[in-house]
This record gives sequence, structure tokens and C-alpha cells, in this order.
Amino acid sequence: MKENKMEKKNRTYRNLFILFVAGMLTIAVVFAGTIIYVDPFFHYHAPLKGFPYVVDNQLSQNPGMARNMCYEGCIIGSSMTVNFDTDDFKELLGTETVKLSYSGAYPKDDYNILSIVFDESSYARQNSPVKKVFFAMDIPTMTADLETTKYPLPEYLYDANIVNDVKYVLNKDVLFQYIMRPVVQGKGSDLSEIYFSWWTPEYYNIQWVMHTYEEPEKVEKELGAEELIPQTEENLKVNILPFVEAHPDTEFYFFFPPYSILYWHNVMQENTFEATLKQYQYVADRLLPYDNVHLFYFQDMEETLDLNNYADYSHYKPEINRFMVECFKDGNYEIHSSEEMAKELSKMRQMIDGFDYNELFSKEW
Amino acid sequence: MLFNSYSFMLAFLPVFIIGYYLIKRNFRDDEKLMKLLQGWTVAGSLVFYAFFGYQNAVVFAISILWNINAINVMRVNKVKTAKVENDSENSKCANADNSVDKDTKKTADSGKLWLFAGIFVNVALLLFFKFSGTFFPVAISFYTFNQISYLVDYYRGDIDEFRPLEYLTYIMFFPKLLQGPLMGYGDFVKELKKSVKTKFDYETILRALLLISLGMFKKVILADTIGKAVDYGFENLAMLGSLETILTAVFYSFQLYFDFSGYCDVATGICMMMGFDLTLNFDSPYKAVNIIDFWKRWHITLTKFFTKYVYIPLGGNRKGAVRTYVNFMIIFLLSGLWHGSGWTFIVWGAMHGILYVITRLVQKKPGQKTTANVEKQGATAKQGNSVIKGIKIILTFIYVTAAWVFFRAETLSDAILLFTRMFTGGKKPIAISMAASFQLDELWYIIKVTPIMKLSFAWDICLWMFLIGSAVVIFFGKNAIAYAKECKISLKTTFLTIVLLAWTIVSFAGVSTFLYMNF
Repeated sequence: MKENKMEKKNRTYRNLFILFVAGMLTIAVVFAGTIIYVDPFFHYHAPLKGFPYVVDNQLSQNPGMARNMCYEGCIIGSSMTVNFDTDDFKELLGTETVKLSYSGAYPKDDYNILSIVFDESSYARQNSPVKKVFFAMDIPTMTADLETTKYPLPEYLYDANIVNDVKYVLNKDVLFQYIMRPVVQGKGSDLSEIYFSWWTPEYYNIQWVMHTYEEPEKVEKELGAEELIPQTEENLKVNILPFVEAHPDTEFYFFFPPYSILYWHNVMQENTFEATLKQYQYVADRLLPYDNVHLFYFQDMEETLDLNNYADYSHYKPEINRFMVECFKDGNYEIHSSEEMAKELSKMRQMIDGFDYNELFSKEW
Repeated sequence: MLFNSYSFMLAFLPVFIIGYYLIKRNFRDDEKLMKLLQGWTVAGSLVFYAFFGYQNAVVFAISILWNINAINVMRVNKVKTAKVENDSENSKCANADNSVDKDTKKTADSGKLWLFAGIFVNVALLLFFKFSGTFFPVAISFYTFNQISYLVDYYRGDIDEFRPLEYLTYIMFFPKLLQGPLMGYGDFVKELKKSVKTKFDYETILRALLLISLGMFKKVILADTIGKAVDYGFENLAMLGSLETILTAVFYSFQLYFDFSGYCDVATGICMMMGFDLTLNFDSPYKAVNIIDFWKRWHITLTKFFTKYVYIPLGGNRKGAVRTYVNFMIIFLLSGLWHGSGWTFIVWGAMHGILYVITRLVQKKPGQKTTANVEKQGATAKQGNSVIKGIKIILTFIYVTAAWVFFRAETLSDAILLFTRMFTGGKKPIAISMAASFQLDELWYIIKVTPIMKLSFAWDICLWMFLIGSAVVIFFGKNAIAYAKECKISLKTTFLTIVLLAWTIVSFAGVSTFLYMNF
């Protein structure tokens, strides 16, 4: 009798344990299945038709977009590229373009995403070759460490290891923020405008720029003119040029973004002026020999003198992005030779010399 | 490998436990089985620790090799001493000789020397990594104390024989490796032997899973969420209003509680699966009625360690009242240093030490032994009026919380700033960033579709839910270990286990976001 009772009890516990295992497995399968089916980070497949995808996470969503979307051109670079409207590229250049910006991108970030862009086994490459790459060349980042990314990457979205994908498929943030939220709101991102920052006009005024400006401390000792070159050379050699060389059929549009005149004040405070100019010239000289490279120098645009075009010392308004796309089309501001680059840098020097920084800093903002 | 990781919960733990029971099922011979289970545990612990990278593994290996060497030398000395003593007995029978006594003393001294050398290197290694600023090896504070405990127990003869595999199992045992408890070797081996004889049963496994799910929930959902608000508070001290400073301090107390007790629950649950009772390390500490009571409930095994290996060797309470109180202060200052380097930890230790001594002084009655007195006071407190008891609990909690501020603050001036802002911060609404820390999607989405959203305090509702819910669990809830051991396992508890475990597992990763502004 007692034994029967014990046996019954044991059977109950065994059934409860089976229920536990079955319950956990069911939750895991439903949870992971939903994420894999919708795939809000485009890790496994192209976007579902009609699903309102929210795209706002560069680190997590760029690799999937590069791998599983259909495009012929891509935008690579830092926050200098976030305000591009990809519809402009379609309209002016006839290129279906995807934005793959990493704000604050180091050359290693560019390398990582370009490796995925040019991966021939991807769905994107099976559909179309890469015809154009629009690449913001941020000179200040060219001395970064060769292997360092700006932010730690969610590796499970970048590597081919399917085991660590568990961090994606059993992740409540993915389910709630990237599947449930857009479903409830019924509205996804406009892919042509993803990652837009400071998109409304009130961000752009000199008052705001100067009020938030933090002047770097003056460095007494000037940096030697050649000192930035070795690391710049390494970064070009390791993280950028291999793609240019390996893909002669792809046109690379490198451009030096039009930072404001205030950027040059930073350079002078840091006492790296001559070294920086040398660095610009060096990068141009390394890029120009390639037939598939178009190089643009936008920093001596008149607009850089007016801080009402900026949200801070470097970030310009979206109209300038549109203007740059127009230049990519008509060749305005394009550099064709080392001499032309030297001429532009000389013009830049004159603009800096002619700018009245004293007056700018004498005012209370 | 952390307990709250996919690799641990979905791969390591199931494989380890299944392997443990497969070994048990296939081997009947107790001695052989014991060795195999120890080998399996050591192998598992190696894998567990290897996840922290080679640097940590190298330091751990050095510590183990050094201690094996010290133990070995002591062992040889013990054999020699025994031999010399034996010879001495024989020669005394034959012919008295002073040189034999000298030999005995010499070998005994050499053993003592190696004990001190062993302890010295362990402490030096710990201090080096604490103060050198290189990197701090994972779990070094815990395994160093385990090593010292083993050396002393071996020297004293509390451990009869050095068994390398058993020693490795004790030092590397993964459930207690990262955050304790600091279990004595004797208790550990007793449990290990018991574990070998324990048979698989579903009820125990279900209880263990319930305990693990409760622990995980405390750590992942409660402690980590609360921790975000605490981080906000300590990173913005100069801007905090009075209410925010109080919340920051109280939340930090809660965070520590859930973090530490959550870990202990998971560790205990894992051991329960193995048929092993892990020493109680945490017993509803914020229900303590005074600081002495608190230290009988918080990190119980650390208190025991300091009592056995520091307080008693220093003379304990045998050398007069003043020495006793000095010894207490030494222990609390050492405890502060053990927890972290810097003045903030010393102040934290001193705050506990001072109140501990004062409480002892107040409790002590002439002519009575202190320990007995404390026990008597403890018993009185239990019988006391519940209102007075409540007041005592609240006052103790306030003091402990104030001390935790020093424990958490980067500098002494930060801690002082928090207290200053408590009185000068003024009436400021709770910062959006602090309130947002508690807006877990799973709660916030529900609240957003209810009429609560129309209330003026709707934005802060999750914060208050966490605060009140946590306080209820901490001050009125049953100890999770006791609950898991005593509750009736039913459909309800199984569903609770599934919900809590699934909720925590899908909360492990999150999605990395960073503020993208300037490059």
C-alpha cells in the first residue's frame, strides 16, 4: 500500500519533470521560431514582405542588411553618412543603395562590414554585384588601432557560428523591441532614412554649436609632419585598400566629409595642423592611382564657414548630404590628381588663415 | 562561465548533471565511483573556469601548484616527525638522547615554516592582484581563502591525508568557485561522500530547478534591473535630488541582496541536483535585528572563516575585553580589504566594526561571557515585541545601507556627496533615466495599455513596483532555499519554475545600444 503511494508520488514527479522539459522546449521553439521567421536583424533571410521592420541599431542590423538585402551600392562610414537619403542615390545615380553607417566608425569597422558586403556567398551578392561604394574618409580615425572597433560588436551576428546565435534567437529584447513594438505600432522604419540624426532644422544654428563646443586643450609641442603617416598607411593597407584592389569592377567614391571650420581650430589646438594636412595629402596619393576610385574633397566648401549649417563642429545638415550626392553625379569637388589635392589643401589653408576665430570666441554664446 | 549565461544554462549544466548521474548509474564500487565523480567534477570545473580566459587560468594554476607544493612539503615533514618520534620512543627505551628531541623540534619547525610560507604566498598573490592594477583574476579572493583554509587544516591535522583529486575537487568545485560559500574542507568531503550515495530522484531535481529559477530571477530580473538605476545614481551624484539619493542607496542594498542571494540559490540548487548540501551562506540578512545578527546572516561562511583563521589565532576573547574588541576591528578591516582595494572599503569595514563593538559593549553584562550573552540577546530579540523588533530591523537596515554607500562609491568624496545631496538635493522629480531602468518591456507594454498610464505617476510606476515588491520579498519573504526544500512540489511550482527560468534565459543577452553622437 505504502509502496503504491510512493510509486504514485514518483510517477507524479516524473510527469512534472517531463512537463518541465516539454514546457521549456516549447517556449524555446516558439520564441526562437518567431525570431527566425521574422528575422528583424536580417541574419537569416531577406525581409518579409509587408512586415514593418524597425531599423535603428547599426551594430546589430548592419551585418544582416549587408548580407540579405538587395542593393547595388552601399554607404560606408561614420556619423558623417547617417543623414544620406538613399532615395537620392536612386534618383540621381540610379543606384539602389543601402546605408551601412557605423557612427564613430574606425577603419576596422569599415573592414568588417565591407567583408560582408563583398561576401560572394551572401544572398545580396547572389542577386547583384556591388557596383558602387560610397565611403566617408574620416581622417581623424585613420590613426586608430588596426584591430579595434569603435564599440564591442555583437559577434554572434557577424560570425558564421550558429551555436552562438542563441543570443539572437532567445533574446527578449529582439522579440519585444523589434517584433512586437512595430507590430503594435503598425509602423516600421523608412529604409531610405534609417539612422538619421539631427534631422530637423532647429539643430543647425551657430548658437547651439558654440554653446556646446568644448575646445580641446592647447598642446604645446607640435606633432612632427610625418608622424601620422605610418599608422594611416597601415590602416589603408590592411582595412581599406584590399577591397579596392580585389574589386576593380566596383566604383569606390571616397570623400573627405565637409567638417566645419571649427574642426580646424581643434586641429590647431592639438598642434597637429601640418601633420594632418600631410595625412590628407598622403591618403589622396594612395587612393588616386586606382582606376576604380573617385575622390572628393568637400572641406573647402563655402558652407563650412557658416556654423548655421552644423549641429556641432563636424556634423552638417542633410541638405549638404544631398549636395554631395549631386557632386558624385556631376563630378563637382572631385580630385583627379595629387596636384589638385595639394591645390585644394592650399585653398583650405587660406580659408583657415582668413577665418576670424578671435571674433568667434570673443562672443558669449 | 557565468551562471547567468546561455552556455552555462543550456549546455554546461545539463551535460554536467546528466554525466554525473550516468557515472553513478554505471559504477557501483563506492571508492571507484567517488574518484570518477571527483574526476568528472574537476574536469567540469576546468571547463567552467577556462571560459574566463587563459590569464585567469594561469594564475589559478600557479596558486594550485604552489599549494600542492606547500602541502607536499608539510606532508613529508609530518612523516619525518612521526618517524623521529617513533625513533625517540625506541631510543628512550634503550638509551636517553637529547639529539632525538632536537630532531623532532627541527622537523616540526620546518612544517610550521612551510605553513607560513604557504599562507604568505597565497596572501601575497591576492594582494598583488588587488593593488597592482594589472587585472583581477576571477574568483581569486575565494580560492585563496580556500587554499589557506586547507593549509591550516592540514597542518593542524584536521585533514588526515592529502588526496590530490579530493583537494582539486575542493578548490575547483564550480558551484562555489566564483562567489563561495567558503566551505570548510571537512564539511565539503562529508557532503561529497553523501553525494556519491544519493540516488537520482525527480522530486529533488524539481526542487533544485525551482531554486535555480528563483536564484536566476533574483539575479537577472531583479538585481541587474535595479543595478541600472544604481549605476545612474552613482554616475550623476551631483545632480540627484533628495529622493533620488535615498532611492540610489536603498536600491544598491537591494541589488547586492538579490545578486548575492541569487547566486547562492543557484549554487545551492546545482549542488542539490548532485545530492550535495552546500553550506548556508545567506539567511535573510536584512531581517537582522542588529549588526551582530546581520553578520550571522550575511556571508555566513566568510564570518566563520575570519573567526576560525584570524579571530581565534589572535586570541579571540581570551585576552581581555580590549583585545577582544581590537580583534573584532581587525577582522572587519580585513574584511573590508578582502572585498576591495581602497579607502571606501576600509571605511565600510570600519563602520561595521565600530557598530559591532558598540553592540557587543551594550549587550555585555558584567560577569557573563560575551558569546553566551549574545546568544541570550538573540533569543530575547526573537521573543521581543514585534514592533520593537521591526524598529530594530529598520534601523539595522538603514545603517547597513549607509555603509554600502561607501562599498559602492568610487571615492570617499563620492560617498559623502551622496549623503550631502540627501539633505541638500531638494524636491526633484525622479529622473527619467532612473525610472526608465525599471521599464522592462514585458511590464511596460502591459502598463501602457491600461488606465494606469493616465495617472500622474505612471512613468515611475515600474520603479515603485520594483521597490515595493523587492522590499516585500526581502523583509517578509521566506528564504528561497527553505522554500524550495519545504514547499509541496506541484503543477503550480513546476509552472513557476518554467516561467521564471524561461524569463531569465531570454533576458541574458539584450541588444547592445550605444549613444552615437560625435566620432
